[in-house]
Amino acid sequence: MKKYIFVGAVSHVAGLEYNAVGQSADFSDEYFVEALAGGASFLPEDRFAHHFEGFPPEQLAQYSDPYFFGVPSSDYTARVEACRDEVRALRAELCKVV
Amino acid sequence: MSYALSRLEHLYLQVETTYGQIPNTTGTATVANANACRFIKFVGDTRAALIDRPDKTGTRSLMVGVLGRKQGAWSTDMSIAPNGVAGTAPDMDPLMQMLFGQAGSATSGSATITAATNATPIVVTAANTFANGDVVFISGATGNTAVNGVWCLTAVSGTGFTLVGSAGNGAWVSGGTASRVAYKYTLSDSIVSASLWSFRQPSTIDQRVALGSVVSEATFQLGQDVAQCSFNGEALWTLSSNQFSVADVIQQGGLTAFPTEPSAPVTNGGMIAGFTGKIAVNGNGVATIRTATVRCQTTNVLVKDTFGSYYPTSAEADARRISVQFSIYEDDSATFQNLLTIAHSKTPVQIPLFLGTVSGSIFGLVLNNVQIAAPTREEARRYSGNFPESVAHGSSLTTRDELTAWFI
Repeated sequence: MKKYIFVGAVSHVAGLEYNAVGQSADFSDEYFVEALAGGASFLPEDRFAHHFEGFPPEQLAQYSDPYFFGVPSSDYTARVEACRDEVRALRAELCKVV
Repeated sequence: MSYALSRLEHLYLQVETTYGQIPNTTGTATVANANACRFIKFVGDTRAALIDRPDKTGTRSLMVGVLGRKQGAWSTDMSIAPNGVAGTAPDMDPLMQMLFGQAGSATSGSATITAATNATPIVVTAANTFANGDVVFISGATGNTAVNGVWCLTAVSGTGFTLVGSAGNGAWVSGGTASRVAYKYTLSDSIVSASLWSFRQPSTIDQRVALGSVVSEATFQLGQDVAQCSFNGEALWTLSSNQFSVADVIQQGGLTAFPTEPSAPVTNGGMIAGFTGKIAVNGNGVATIRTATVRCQTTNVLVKDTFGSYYPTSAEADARRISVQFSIYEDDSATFQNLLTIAHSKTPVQIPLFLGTVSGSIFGLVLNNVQIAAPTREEARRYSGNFPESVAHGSSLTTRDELTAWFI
C-alpha cells in the first residue's frame, strides 16, 4: 500500500467519498491504476508535495474545503491545475481506459 | 430466500469492440471497478417471441406455438454528472459513445484575455487557437465580470472571439483566462454497441448484462431540480447469472462464466442543479427559460430479420433526429420577438445549452441549424411560449455537426 493524495472534485472510491484536495488514501499500485482509469484524480504523495511545496497548509485546508465558496488564490488554482495536468498524463500513460 | 432491494444495485458500462461480444480476456469478463457509473434506474429485459401457427384448425382453439426470435431491451435514467475535473471523461462515457457513434476526445488550450467590450454580445480580445463552436470556461476577468463563465464561441479569429448570448455588465478592467480544457463528443455515422452490467445484492439474486446494446433514443432535461438524462435501446440479449449454465453461446457473449461484481467501484462527479446554467437562441441569451428537453433519436436498431438466426446479428440505422423543445416565459423583450420571427421564418439558428456553473461540473449541448417550431401559448399566472420539438441539422453534407456535447 502507498499513500495517494486526492486532487479531484468529488469521487467515490471503494465506498469512500473524496471531496477535498489534499485528502489522502492508501491504495495498492494496482488499485491506483484502476482508480485513475475510473476517472478519479489522485497523485502519489511525493508528487503532490512537489506541486504544493511552500504552500501554507492552513490555506490548503481553507480552499479545499468543499463548503468553501470564496475565490481561492490564483497560486492555489495554478497548483491544483498542475496536479490535474499530471493526473491526465498519468492516466494516458498507465490506463487502457482513458 | 432473499429479496432484491432496488437501492442495492450498481451499474457498469463497457463499450464492445465486437458487436455482441462482452469484453473479455479468453472468456473471462473484464468488467472492472473503473467501469462503474451512478444511475437512477436500469431496466434490462429479454424478449422471446411466441409464434402461433396461423392455419385453421377446425375449431376456434389455438394450438401450442413455437419459439420465435429473441432479443433484449434496456433503458436507464441517471443524473448528468460531469467528472468534476475538466478534460476528464464522465462516468457515462460509454453511453455518450453509443449516442454519438464514436469515442469522445479531450480538448485543450487556453487564452489570456487582454480586452473585452462592454456590449451585447461581448467581444473578447485574446490571442488564441480556438474555433467557431468551441466551448470555453472563462474565469478571473474583473470589471466586465459578465465575461466569466461558460460560453460557446463565434466569430473566432486568432486575436479574439465573441461570446454567444453574452451581454457586458461594465468596463473590462483586467484579467481573465479562457480555458478549453474539456471532454467533447461529436457525431459519427458509426454505431457503437456496449455491454451494460447490473450487479445487485445479495449476489445470489440474478445479476444481468445487456450485451450488444445500442442507443435508440436519449433525452437530456433542463430546468428540473436535478439535471437528468435517459437512454434506451435494443440489445442482443440480457444475460443473467442464474441462467448462464443454460444459456446458449450467443447469449453468453463470449464468456465462459458469469463474473462476480468488482469489489471497489470508482465513480466521480456531483450532480448539477438542473435550473442553473444558460441558454442562448440565435445569439440571444434567454433568461426566462423554464424547461428544455433535448431529444436525440439515433434510429439505431438491431437487425432482426437475418435468415437462420434467432438473434439480432448486427445494428443498423436511418437518419438521426436531434431536436429541442423548450418553454419560455413570454415578455415584451426583443429576444422573445426574435424567437417568434425565426419560428415563422424557419431561419436555422444555433442553440447552446449549458447546465451548471462550476468549471469541471458543466454539461453543454450545442445544437446547430435548429429550425424553430412555432410556439403554443400556455396560460397560467404568466403566459409562456411552448416551443415544440425543433429539429437541428448538419451544416453541410459532410460535417455531422447538428449536435456536440461538452463536459467542461
